[in-house]
Amino acid sequence: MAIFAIIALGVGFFAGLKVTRPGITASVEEYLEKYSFYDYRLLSTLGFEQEDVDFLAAGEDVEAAEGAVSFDVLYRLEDGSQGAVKTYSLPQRLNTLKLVWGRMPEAEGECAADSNLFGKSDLGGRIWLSEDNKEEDLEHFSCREYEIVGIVQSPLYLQYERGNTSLGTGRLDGYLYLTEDGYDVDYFTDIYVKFSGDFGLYSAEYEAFIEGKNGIWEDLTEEAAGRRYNSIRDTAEEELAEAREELEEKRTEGEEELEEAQKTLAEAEKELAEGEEALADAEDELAEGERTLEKERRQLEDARAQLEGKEQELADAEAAIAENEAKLRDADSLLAGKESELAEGEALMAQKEAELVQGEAGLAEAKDAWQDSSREIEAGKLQLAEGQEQILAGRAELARQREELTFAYGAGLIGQEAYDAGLAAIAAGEAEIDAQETILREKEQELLQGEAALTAAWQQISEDEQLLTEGRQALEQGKEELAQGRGALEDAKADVSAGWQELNEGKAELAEGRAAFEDGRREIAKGEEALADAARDMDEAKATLEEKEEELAEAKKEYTDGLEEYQDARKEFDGKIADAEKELADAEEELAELKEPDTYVLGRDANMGYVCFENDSKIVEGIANIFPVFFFLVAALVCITTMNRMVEEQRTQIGVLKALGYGEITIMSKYLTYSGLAAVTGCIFGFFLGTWGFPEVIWYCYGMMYSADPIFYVFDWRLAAISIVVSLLCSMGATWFSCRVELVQVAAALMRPKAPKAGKRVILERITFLWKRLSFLHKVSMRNIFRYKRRLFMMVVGISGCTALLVTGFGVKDSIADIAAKQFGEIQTCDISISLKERADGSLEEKLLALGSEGMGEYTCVMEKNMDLVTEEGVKSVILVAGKEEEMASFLDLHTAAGKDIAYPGPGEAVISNKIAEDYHLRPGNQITLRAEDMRTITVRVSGVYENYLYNYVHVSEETWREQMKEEPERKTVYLNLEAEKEDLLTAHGLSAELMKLDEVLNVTVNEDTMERIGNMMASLDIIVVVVILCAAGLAFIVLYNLTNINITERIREIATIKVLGFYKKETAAYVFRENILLTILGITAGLVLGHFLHAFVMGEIRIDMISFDIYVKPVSYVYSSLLTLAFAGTVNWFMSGKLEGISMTESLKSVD
Amino acid sequence: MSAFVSFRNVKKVYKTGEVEITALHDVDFEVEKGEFCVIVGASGAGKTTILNILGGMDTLTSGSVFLDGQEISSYGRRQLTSYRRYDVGFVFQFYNLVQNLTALENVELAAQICREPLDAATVLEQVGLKERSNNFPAQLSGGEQQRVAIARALAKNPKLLLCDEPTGALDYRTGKAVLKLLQDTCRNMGKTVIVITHNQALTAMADRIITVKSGTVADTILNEHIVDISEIEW
Repeated sequence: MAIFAIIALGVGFFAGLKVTRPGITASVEEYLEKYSFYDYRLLSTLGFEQEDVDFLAAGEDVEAAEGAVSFDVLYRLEDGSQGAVKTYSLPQRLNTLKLVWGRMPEAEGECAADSNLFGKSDLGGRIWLSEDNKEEDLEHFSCREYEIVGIVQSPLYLQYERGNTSLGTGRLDGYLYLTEDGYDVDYFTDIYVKFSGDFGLYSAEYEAFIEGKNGIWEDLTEEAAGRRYNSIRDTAEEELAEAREELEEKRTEGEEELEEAQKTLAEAEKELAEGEEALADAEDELAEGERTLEKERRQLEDARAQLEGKEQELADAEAAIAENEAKLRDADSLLAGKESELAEGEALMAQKEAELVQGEAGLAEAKDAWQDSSREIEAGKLQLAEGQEQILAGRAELARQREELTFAYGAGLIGQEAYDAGLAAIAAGEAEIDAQETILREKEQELLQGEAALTAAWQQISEDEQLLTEGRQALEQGKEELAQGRGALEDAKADVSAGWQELNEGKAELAEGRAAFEDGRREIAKGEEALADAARDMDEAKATLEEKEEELAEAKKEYTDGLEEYQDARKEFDGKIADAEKELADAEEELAELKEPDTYVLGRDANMGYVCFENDSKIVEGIANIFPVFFFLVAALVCITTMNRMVEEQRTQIGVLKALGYGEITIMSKYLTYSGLAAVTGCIFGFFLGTWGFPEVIWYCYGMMYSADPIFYVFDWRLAAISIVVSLLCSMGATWFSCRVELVQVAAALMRPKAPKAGKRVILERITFLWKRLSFLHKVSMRNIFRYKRRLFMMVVGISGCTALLVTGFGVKDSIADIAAKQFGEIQTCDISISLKERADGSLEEKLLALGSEGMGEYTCVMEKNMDLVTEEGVKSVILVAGKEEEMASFLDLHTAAGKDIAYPGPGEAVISNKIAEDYHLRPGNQITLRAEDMRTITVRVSGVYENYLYNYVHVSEETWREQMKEEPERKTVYLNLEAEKEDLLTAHGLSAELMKLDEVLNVTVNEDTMERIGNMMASLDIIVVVVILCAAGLAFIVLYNLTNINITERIREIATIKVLGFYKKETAAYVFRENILLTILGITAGLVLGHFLHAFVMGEIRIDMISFDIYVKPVSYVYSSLLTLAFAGTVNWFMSGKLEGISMTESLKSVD
Repeated sequence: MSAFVSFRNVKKVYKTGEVEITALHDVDFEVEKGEFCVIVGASGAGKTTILNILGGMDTLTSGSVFLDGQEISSYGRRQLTSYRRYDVGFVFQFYNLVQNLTALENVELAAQICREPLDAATVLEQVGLKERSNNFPAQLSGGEQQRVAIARALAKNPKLLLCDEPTGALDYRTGKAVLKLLQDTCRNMGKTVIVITHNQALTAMADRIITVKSGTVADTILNEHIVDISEIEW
């Protein structure tokens, strides 16, 4: 029975715990599979289009891709309560919903709501989108109120945690699912992708698979988002262009109209001005006219006076003219005499001139004749010279001929005859030449005569020429005199003519004067008349002018009105245009601001529920790895003890059997069968109970946090086999061992009762002074305790195991539950941390300061940067924090695990978190190298190791960064504290929401939220603790019960005896259980120590990256563990005391069997 | 005043399932204070049941039992325990010593729960085991063990000493010595001693002999000729 129980328990725990993780994981996997949980969630800041979805759906390994719309919105319920929810579009294929109650929404005004937030009674209720929502947020929705028609569970929210938002208090209360018509957007905010590969949940293969996909999908997403970006931009640009065109058109139109109006106005103005001018002119004219009239009147008077003077003058002039006429007639007759004289002189002169001309002509003839003669002589001379030359030449020829002839003759060339003939010819030639010479001489003579005659002739000519020249001079003189005479005559004549002319002119003038006089008289009369007319006209004109002035004033008024109208119209037009332009500019700006979309490829590990579940199930696994081993150990021990006792009890029987001739194997097989059967039944019972019960219980507990389908039973053959084999080994091994011991003895020895184990003094007795102090009964107990070493050992092991389990269970809780509180309460003491999009600058600081009224206290900007810690033992990703020493104090408390403060690192120094120090064996004084993603490194000396639980940090000062990296640190993180008196969660959330509204802010983390979230997550540890307590209780019961039972059975006579001796019930119990209690206390003491180490070991096993557990057990946990163990022991003792009671005293009378 | 010990119409029925076995019926006897009484009978006659009832280890079905004027048969469990504790001393056939305690300690074990115990060492000395007082039972012979058991019973200074086949596991000589001790105790210390045995021979040494047969008292004889144990042979 004991074997059955312990095996059942051991196997139950082992198999149960072992199977729990696969079981719950499989259930969750099934759940996720059933509702098609995504593999990738793709996000783009600009959203996606159906086209993109199709594009991505065509990717490799993709089973399905689906676009989804999701927005956060503030809601209001009927009872006025408000909050923020995340809304989703109804999924078609991926992340489908589990309908808890009601039906799925179909119309645009219907929704399905989070089963965590709403219950069945909310069906048919209404949910309003709060008026506090920003208009731009509300625009995403087509309705303002939705009817809840269904209550659903979404696989996106495995866990109860709903996440954060930038709205309202910053926390999401739940989710709503709307139909696509429920949204008023034409794009998808998310795309969910599911791959066709079938991998185990949280399996390494899955991670590797996704890892392999990441790069590709980042590109794909980028591409899809890029397309969307382009399409948006193109559309916008087109629209913008159209709008601009329209604007231009309108502007032109308007301006034209306006211009026309303006022109009209200008004309009117001009006309008006002209009118005015004309009027002014007219007035001027009128004035002038008046003046002129006056002047004329005066002139007329003057003229009349003059006219009377002129009449006298005229009469005088007529008398003078008559006198002058007489004088002129005398002069005329004188002049006629002089003229005839002059005519005679002139006729003489003409005669003389003709004679002169004759003489000059004869001279010219003579000169020509001479000229000719002279030329003839010259020619003759030339001929002469020629002739002489010819003669000379003839003679030379002749001489040559003679010579030749002579020579020829001399040489005998020619004969005498030829020679003679030749001589004759030459002589003839000479004769001829001589004749010619004579002629020439004659001609020369003649020529000389001709020349002399010529010279005489020339002399004659020269004389004649002189005479002629003298004659010419005299003639010229006479002519001049004549001309002078003629001139004088002419002058006189002209004088007389002039006189006449003058006279005639005077006469004419006089006549004119007389006429003018008459005219003047008439004119004056006329002028007077005209003057009268003019005066009359003037009066008329004046009247007209007045009329015109009136008209002009009217026109002016009209004009002013027109102008006003025009200005108004202009203003309106300008305004409208400006508005339109502004709108356009805004749109343009918007377009310009339209950045290339940021895309995110989020795997399942970005889903809170998914990740939390993994961590939680890992904890279960960690525990499953440790505890069952422990249980098996105890189970083995219990088996050994039990079987040992059984065999001992039955030794007589064994002896009899042996004596009867049964073989050892037969005998042994009897016991082996017994123990084997017990083991197998126990194993089967335990296995099924364990594998069914544990996952069920744990799942039930998890169910409070996780929404998933009921767990289903997982049967693990391997596990079953292991369980069976181990349990059989334990029980049968123990049996075999015990049997061996007995069976080696001979049958006779076996049949004799085994001598009771001799009493022995215990070592304690040697320490007399102590021993003496013990009361008698205690001495008995002490001796009993040490009597059975194996039992002592088992008891201590069992009890210490129980205590250790409890310590571990509580310790796990202590270690994990407090890390968030410690991390954010004692180490990172800032209330809020903000991630920025860009590095912090002055404008942000101003904005932050402006939020002071929201409860914001101090803040500091730091750089948080992921870097690789490069050590000999490997590379580790850490977060480097570079801050300003003077500002960090209120945000970060650096201290060692022992609580000693650590100074903020100075230049070239770093303070590192304890986990990396442990993992890489770093101590203060070591040099560490950190590597940025661009492979630049920074080397610093570790100046301290500080206590830290979440993430791995390396703190350095900004100076260090500046010095080593030669650049300003990128301060993209802000640590922020609330004002001391406003430090509560509400303020924090309010502030967080305000902060989220800042453009620069990427993300706001309220540390208290994180703390709470982790705290909530850690609440799951309570389950673990409960499980552990159950385990421990089971262990304690079985061990204690088994041992006490053995103890009682073995000592039944003794107990009966003391009962007979008159020990009261209590005393009897005390007599027996004192040992138990002592052993329990001993076990607890050992267990506390063991628990301390076991806890450390378990914590080591469930090591989660990024989290350094505070391996620490609260003192109160030790107390709890001890008390619980005592309680278990007490329960067992209480239970067993009943059995003690049942021992009949008559037993004491029986013999030893 | 009635007798020190008296049984009146004592009936004891054991029930085992449907079967009722009447172990005792109509048992009537009396024992006077200071008597050495031997209850003798064949195996299964019911003598042990009588002892059990008298020793407060078992209850009876009907009738009544008085010891020193107190009706034991009306006692509850706790009263019975007190009764055993203060009024009765037992000597078992198989000594029933606590193996883990020395001779002296065994005696002390009994002595320390009594109101007026005798000094354990003295008692041991009286039974002649002074030298062996620090030995464990396993180191003692049967007779010695039985003597320790007697010493244990005596140390309680009980009104009544009950002995269940005290010599049953002993050889003749040792048994005699033990019986001598008992007889001496009775005589010297004035204790009432009741010895149960199947050995008829022992009746000779008793003051009163009660013969039990088939669950009832067949005969009660007051022995006029008391023989010292050393003279008895069997």
